[in-house]
Amino acid sequence: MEMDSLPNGNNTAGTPISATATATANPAPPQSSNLPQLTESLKLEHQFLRVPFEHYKKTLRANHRAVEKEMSAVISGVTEAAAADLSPDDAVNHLNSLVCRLQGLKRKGFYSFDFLFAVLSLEEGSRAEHLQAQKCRVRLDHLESADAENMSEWNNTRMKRILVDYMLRMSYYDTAVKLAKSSNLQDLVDIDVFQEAKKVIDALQNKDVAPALAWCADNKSRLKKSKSKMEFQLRLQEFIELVRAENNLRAITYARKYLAPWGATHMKELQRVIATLAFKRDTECSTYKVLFEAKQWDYLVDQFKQEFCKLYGMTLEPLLNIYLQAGLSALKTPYCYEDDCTKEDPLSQEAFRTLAMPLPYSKQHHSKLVCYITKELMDTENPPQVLPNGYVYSTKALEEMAKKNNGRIICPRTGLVCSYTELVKAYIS
Amino acid sequence: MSLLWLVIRQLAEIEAMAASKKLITREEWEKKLSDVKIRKEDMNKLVMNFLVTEGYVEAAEKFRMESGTEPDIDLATITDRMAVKKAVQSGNVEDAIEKVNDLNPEILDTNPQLFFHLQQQRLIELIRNGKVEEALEFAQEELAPRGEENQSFLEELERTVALLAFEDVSNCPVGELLDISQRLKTASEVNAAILTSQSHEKDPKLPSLLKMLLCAQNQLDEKAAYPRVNDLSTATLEDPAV
Repeated sequence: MEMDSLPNGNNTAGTPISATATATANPAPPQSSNLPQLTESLKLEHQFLRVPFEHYKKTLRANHRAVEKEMSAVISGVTEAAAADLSPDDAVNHLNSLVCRLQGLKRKGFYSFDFLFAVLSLEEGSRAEHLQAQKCRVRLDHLESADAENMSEWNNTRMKRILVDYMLRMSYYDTAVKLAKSSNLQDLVDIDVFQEAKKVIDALQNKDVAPALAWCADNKSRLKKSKSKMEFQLRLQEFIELVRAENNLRAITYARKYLAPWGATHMKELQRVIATLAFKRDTECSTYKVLFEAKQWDYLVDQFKQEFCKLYGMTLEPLLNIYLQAGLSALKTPYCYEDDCTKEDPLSQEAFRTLAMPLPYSKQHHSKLVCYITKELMDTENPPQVLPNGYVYSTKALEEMAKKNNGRIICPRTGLVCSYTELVKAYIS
Repeated sequence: MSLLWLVIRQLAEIEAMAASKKLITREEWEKKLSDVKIRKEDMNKLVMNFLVTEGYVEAAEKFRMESGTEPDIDLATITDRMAVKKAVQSGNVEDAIEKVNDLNPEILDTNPQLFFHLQQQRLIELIRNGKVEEALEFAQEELAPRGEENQSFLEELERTVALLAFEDVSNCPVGELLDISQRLKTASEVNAAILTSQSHEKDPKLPSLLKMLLCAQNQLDEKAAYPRVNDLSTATLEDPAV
């Protein structure tokens, strides 16, 4: 089952996987006022399930390929033995070696071999498969465990997951591992997946493309399907390094072997890079000078991260960024930047203001007035009232104040004293 | 129903327009043609212009003797020009450059684009002959410095150097650079530059006149039906379709 993700990580069908899973496993959830909020919250958990699922599929595919390779080798071995004119002893030796090969395959945890019936059957799955299937189950269980009663604790766990995700993406691996261990989140975060990426990223930062090329080879079919240029970019960089080292003839041989096949689809970039042969590493021509700069390796790292995230169905941005941007833009209003902005508003703090700077303002169709005294929303049930000095407070607050002060109102901000009868009702547009 | 009438009316208008085209019979047309006088000297000059421009030096010499028409340039220079053209067409670009400089050193000095294209052709020939190291050295020393000065040269250089990346030219997106047509294109450019340097037109006048004839006929087709020249090689008049 393929689950194609949209750029923000939601599945195309519109129904979040997590929500579907919860619904089927738990058809009658307890009624709660928090339920709609919970459902909305679970919609954001696409990546949480998608990553281990993709990892699981990848392992299955790899195991399947390994088995097919071994099996075809054994079958062709048997065919050769049948066709060859072998002595009985040689034939027995040959078959024994094939049996050993199959037993080796069994030890790897892929297949069992039954001599009596000569039946080959796929075992339940290798250890890696089992662990990954387990991880998928743990995550489903975790999503199902979210209910109104433990929402606070569940959100706290989510917060830690988001932080671990951020740390892993920013290459703070040790910190991520420590936080995951201390919070007992190992099965709820993707450390193993990111460890795979770490090897490639470290190598690229050391100007070594071999692990990245190996990763491309492992994921060839899926990268091809998504029209990825990753392998091509790596090959171009390797070519550039040969030109930098002035190994021009080796560079040409390399180009003929690894770059020429891309000519039909990427000729423009190919031409540009091949032309470095004529301009050499110390060129001042800006078109080619940039190709020899160290930052090309940084671009490769960024591109690898993007391809990696796409492959596993992750969001391209860290979850922390996405949540922060969503939250800040929902809270951001022109009022936030005024001096009398309330201290409860996160955007009253300089750090949050800086983060919110490039974000759009929240789209507010109607004004929302909050009473200065009760901190409650003023609406038709609790309308605002205007004092003679122009300050506005909620009816509820003013009624309570009038009750306590024999019908007198004292403005908490200016100290003005007036009668309740002097108040004028205001209307929210 | 009204739509049908509209269509019928439009068709009728089109037919009326076709019918309103003036019809010129063969006799009328031939009479008009016979009234037009063309001097023999002008015809001979056109023929000489064609022979000189296209480089038929021996034919031009014979034509001068037989018709008394003087060419507008020294016929000896045609031989030199054709030698340059032939050198490029056979891939001897170095030889061609030498010959151009012997003929007139200013030609390449004042025409950087032509010089670049000749150098590019030289690089193509080195690649064609599998002289990879020599080709690289030549590209680095001769073409790269010129490419830096001019964006269009840079693009040409990129396309040419890209040939090095393909062992099998049949699969190469820029493989046409190794075609004979590329040599002919460069040879034609050199030929035109030499003619220009001799204050001579790059193209013969005769083909231009034939183009004008075809263009005038196309214009006239809209206004009249008349005996047309459809086959330029026979120049026979064909009766108008009534």
